[in-house]
Amino acid sequence: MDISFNDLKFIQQIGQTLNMEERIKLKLAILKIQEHYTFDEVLFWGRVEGVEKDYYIAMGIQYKGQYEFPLKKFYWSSNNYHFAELPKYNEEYASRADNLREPFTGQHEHIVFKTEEEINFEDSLDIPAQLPAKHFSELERLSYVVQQVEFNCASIPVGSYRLTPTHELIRKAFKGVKAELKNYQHFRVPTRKDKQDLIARDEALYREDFLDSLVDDTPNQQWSLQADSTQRNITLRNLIWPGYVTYNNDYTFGYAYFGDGIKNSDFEFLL
Amino acid sequence: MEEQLQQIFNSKYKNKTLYNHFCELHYQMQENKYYNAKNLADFEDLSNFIKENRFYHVALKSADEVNNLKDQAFPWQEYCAKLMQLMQFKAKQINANIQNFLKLNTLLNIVGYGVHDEDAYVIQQCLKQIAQRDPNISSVRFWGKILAQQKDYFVIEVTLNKQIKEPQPPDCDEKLNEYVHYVTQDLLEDWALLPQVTRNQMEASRYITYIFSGNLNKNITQYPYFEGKEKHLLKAQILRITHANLLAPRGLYKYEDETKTIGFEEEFKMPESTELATMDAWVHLPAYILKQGRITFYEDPSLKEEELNQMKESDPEQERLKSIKDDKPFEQNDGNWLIKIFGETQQYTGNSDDQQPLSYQVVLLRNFLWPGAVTVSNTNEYISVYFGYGLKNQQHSFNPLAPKDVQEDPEDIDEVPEPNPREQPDELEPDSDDERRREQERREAELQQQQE
Repeated sequence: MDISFNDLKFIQQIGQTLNMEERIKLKLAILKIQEHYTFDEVLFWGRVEGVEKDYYIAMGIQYKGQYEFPLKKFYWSSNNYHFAELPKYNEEYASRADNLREPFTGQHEHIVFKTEEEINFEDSLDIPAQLPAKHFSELERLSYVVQQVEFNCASIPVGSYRLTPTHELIRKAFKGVKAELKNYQHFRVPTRKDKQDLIARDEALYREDFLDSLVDDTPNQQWSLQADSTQRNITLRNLIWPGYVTYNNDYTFGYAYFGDGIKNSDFEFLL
Repeated sequence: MEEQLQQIFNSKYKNKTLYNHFCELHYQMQENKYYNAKNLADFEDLSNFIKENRFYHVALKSADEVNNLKDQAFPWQEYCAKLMQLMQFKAKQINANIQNFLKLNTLLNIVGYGVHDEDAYVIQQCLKQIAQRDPNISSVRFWGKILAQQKDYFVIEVTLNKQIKEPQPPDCDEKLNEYVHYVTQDLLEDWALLPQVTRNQMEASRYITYIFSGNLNKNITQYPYFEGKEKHLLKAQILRITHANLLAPRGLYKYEDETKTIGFEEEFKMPESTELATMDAWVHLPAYILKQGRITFYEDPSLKEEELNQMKESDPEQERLKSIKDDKPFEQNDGNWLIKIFGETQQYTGNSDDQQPLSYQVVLLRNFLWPGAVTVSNTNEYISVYFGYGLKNQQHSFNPLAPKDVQEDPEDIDEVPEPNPREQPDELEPDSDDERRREQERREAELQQQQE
């Protein structure tokens, strides 16, 4: 979501918003990210609610010079509005992290679960030192959630971006789309064969829907597409990650996550 | 007449006058040997042919385009008309207590919840309209929004002066249906009244986890069986959420044991905001719903006393106006409510000593068990709303309820071969006990004789 926060009215359709203090401080903090690393665009990604404190996530996107898909970098901050880069999570514990249901506490050093790592010192001649086991902290859990939501949910309307002949993504003049699921696509490196083929054959340059379509997501009912009374302000929500919203109207589009960071793993049973 | 004809002939399209076109047509009709005019259609064909070749052809509009001109009208027209109608709604006199949602929404926005200002204005108009619908209405408030798969539900809660007596099975509780709800899926459309809920439905709704589809008349296919459509389940969930989350500051209401009613306390002063930020200062306003699906326990006359007593013990009633501090704590937290303070926390002390220090801070109370239910308050006012899917916070993975045991087959009776009169049985059954005894004695006597 753009940091002018004009688009908050779409998020207010699920009852969440940012108050004045958050908006002002986030705007300044996100602009500060540009001091260390210049991006083409720095956007506000979302807010993960915790018990004591909340986490704010920002995303920097670099389009130029990136082949096939722009580079995304994530930054996190707590209530102190000071953004730091989001570290990578330990991939071995990804499946355990997927099933967690406890709310985020807000303390990023909080240990979510203890891990046992074996440290082999066979080759070392020194006396093996006692390395403290690196437990799975809440910051890693946050990193995992952000990556999952971004991979599974982040979507944009068809016709918003185009692929240039040098395979860079550029933003097009956006005119709005009809409220149908086939008009939305994932904002990630294409993983499905048909889209990868399109790009390999260079046919993607002439098409608007060259990224993975949402229609092929299983289960299909996880996407809830709704328009408000004007029929022009459209929000696309995900039910497996409640709190994720992609929105568009005739002038703008974007997406954001406002939720508690807990996956709705029972989704299939709730229909 | 002449002039009009001249005018028509001189009408131009792309630098070609009608007169010129007719000259061309005339020329072609005479010169072109392929042209055999049989009817007016052929004449039209020639005319079109000439137009196309001279590059001033205009394609005729298809029937669809001409008939459906309405669709090409301004697409927002309907929306603007409805919105205008809603905005201009003025009530002559409203005898009900309507929540000032427009103002309270700004309070919600300060804590990070709430709707957009434009929507809040429309909702306020809707509140007024609903108050007009029934002269029995005593208070109206915006309950919140239940998100659904296809289209969300906006809900308004209403309390009545006099209860509508609807025919209900005898085990239902009238008090449970005290709050009446209206829903709509589009703020500019009509609001529908949700039906009253029975005890069975209330009991079953505790075990069902379901994301609403958005269609009020959809049949619910879940286990355990819920008799009713989506609108009944919606009403049951809304009632559960209200009864668990509607809060009031302590001391505003008083409960009279004899009449079993809630009334306003005579003198009430909203407590200071530092006090409001503790769980002590808030109480549950509506009654607690039993597992049975009622507020007061129902003594089924067909059940025995021991069974009834057992059921009563496992399902105790709770006192009215209970403090939220005594709510069952959620997981490792103390208590079920998260309290956060927003806004300006500076305390301003007035010049005189007896004045309470003033603070503009806003207190947020969030329910852990029902994520999405919030109560927000500052020193002047408070509001409770719900924004969510209508689901409890499940800490364990969903485990479907096991179906009841299947009835086992009854035990088989011993099978004996049927007596056939043509075959003599190996052993003749004695007819009576006496005979059996005599037979046995005779057999023993024979045996003894053989041994000797």
